[in-house]
Amino acid sequence: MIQYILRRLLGAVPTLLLVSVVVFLLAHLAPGDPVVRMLGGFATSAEIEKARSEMGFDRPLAVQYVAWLERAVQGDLGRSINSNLPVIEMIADRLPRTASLAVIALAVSIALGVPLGILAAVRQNTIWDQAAMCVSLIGLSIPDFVAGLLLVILFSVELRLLPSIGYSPLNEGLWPWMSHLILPAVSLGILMAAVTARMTRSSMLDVMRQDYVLTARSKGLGEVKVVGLHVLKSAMIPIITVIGINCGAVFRGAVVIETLFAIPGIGRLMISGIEFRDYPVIQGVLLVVVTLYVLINLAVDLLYAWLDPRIRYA
Amino acid sequence: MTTPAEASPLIAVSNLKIQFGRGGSLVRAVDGVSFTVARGETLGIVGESGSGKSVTARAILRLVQTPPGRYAGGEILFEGEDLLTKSEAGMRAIRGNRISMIFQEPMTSLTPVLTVGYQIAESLRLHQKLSASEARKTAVALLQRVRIADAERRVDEYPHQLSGGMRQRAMIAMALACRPKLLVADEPTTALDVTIQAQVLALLAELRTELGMSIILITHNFGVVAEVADRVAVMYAGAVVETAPTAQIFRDPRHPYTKGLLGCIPRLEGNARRLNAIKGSIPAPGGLPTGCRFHPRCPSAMPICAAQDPPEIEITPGHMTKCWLDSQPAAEVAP
Repeated sequence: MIQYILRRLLGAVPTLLLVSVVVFLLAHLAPGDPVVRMLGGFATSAEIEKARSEMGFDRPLAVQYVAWLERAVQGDLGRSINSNLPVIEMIADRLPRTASLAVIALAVSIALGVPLGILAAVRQNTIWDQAAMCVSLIGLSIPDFVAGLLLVILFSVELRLLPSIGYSPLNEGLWPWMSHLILPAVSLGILMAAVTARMTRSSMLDVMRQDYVLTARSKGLGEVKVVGLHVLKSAMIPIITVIGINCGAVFRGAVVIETLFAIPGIGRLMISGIEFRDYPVIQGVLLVVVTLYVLINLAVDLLYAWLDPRIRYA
Repeated sequence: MTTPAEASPLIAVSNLKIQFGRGGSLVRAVDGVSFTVARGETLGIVGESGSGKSVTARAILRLVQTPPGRYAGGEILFEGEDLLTKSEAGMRAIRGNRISMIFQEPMTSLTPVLTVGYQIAESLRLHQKLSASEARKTAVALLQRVRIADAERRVDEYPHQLSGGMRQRAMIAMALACRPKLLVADEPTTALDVTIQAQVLALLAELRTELGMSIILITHNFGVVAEVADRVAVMYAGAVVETAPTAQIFRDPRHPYTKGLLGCIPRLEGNARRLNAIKGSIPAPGGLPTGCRFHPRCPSAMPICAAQDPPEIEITPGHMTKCWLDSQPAAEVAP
């Protein structure tokens, strides 16, 4: 098992290198000149050239990349062109907010999606199944920002139960932290819950047709044990896969949802980075997010092996 | 082999009917099946695919999914209790405890994500209320009993780490964990190599004597029946057409279908160049023929066969058949 983990960790290195190249180039391929933007419209071309060479933008791309990667590996992602703050600090400041949002959104999606899928599979072709699938279809069809607005109208404007915008750090109390995150997390989680529910249902149905489910019943086990252990554990791989993909989707969704709910997280940082052509910020955020994504995928792979012994020994 | 005394059978199935679907698409998968099994006896149920033998086997544990299936009539008396009217909780207390089942495909009949030991221990913990460590110890002993080498290590392995033969042995260990009175074995050797088949059958016969249990052995293979069964019931299209002690059925098969099945066994002696086959195929249970359900394929069919279902006739004690050839009215009605 340890060997398997090491092998997978080593396998992630080339992926991350490739990602770093793409991230670096992406920011440079985007139109717009950050130096011009920073100095404003009245700078002379000599001033622009001077600033450019000070920042190293006049060197060949490959040289810039190697220099950037060297520093990035040491945790130095450069300074923001806009605010002159170290990018790594800006990210460290905002990441906990996005992470809180992501974790709660995922928890919501699992807590809603998995039981809904199990219900639909166990009561296949009944009114329960149809109701569950209808609910999940609605979840799939509503864009997260629309869901967010509807939730704000209901819970903040009408019922006045939850704040509509902002963020409160966890060290200022559990409830303020939770109350600010519930609405954004639910808006993000609805779509993921719908996808999870559908995958849970189809994976469970697949397994319930297997011979070993009949064997389990023939032993006298009750439905809770048959479905909860024999079926669910065997059906878990596709469900975990979808949850892993959702982890990535959370970061994508955070860009929109953080803007909507005015949460100063990674998504907002990214948007402002793009607005100001702030290369170091864009690169830094992308690198961190993509690295997280690769690590999440790695964790999912390790979960596979833990859930299904056939993968462990293959 | 002789038929044990049938004073009070362990299980008596009478006129069992199991249907799928309704109205125009009604399928009578099992249509009036009756048989008994005495204590310690092995009954072989033989038939082609689609004859309803597997559904009958599952019905004994009431494992036919309802819906789409439906128990449409009859009774299954097990030690005097009708299993068809028992509560679901009552059935769960019987399954894996007093009646166990093993299945055809050892490759797919064990849950792939749980260890073999856990799956064996599961019934022990459920029915005998053993603790986890006691159940594990018993599981190791059971694996040793079915002659799995290195049972101490195998008990913690997953099904895919075992060969087909070992998995079927593990299945047997699991089924016999609670020392059941009756074992229902649905084609237990069909998926195995011939050499392994013989070993598994020998093991079953041995365990039957040791535990004093009865076995219902479902198979399409008369060779398997000859090896272990005391009595045979031949099923065709959802009904039993002939029942007899094993030796008797090989010596004097009466029903044309039984004769046909026995004729299909290839023999090395003689100079037959073609394999015998029963012409036609088993009717879809949705469209059973009128009268005797075998008559469209029967080489000896008479006019009455299409008109009326033949009654059950006792040829010699314990040898029953349902065929007009052996019934009196045949002579009267035949032209």
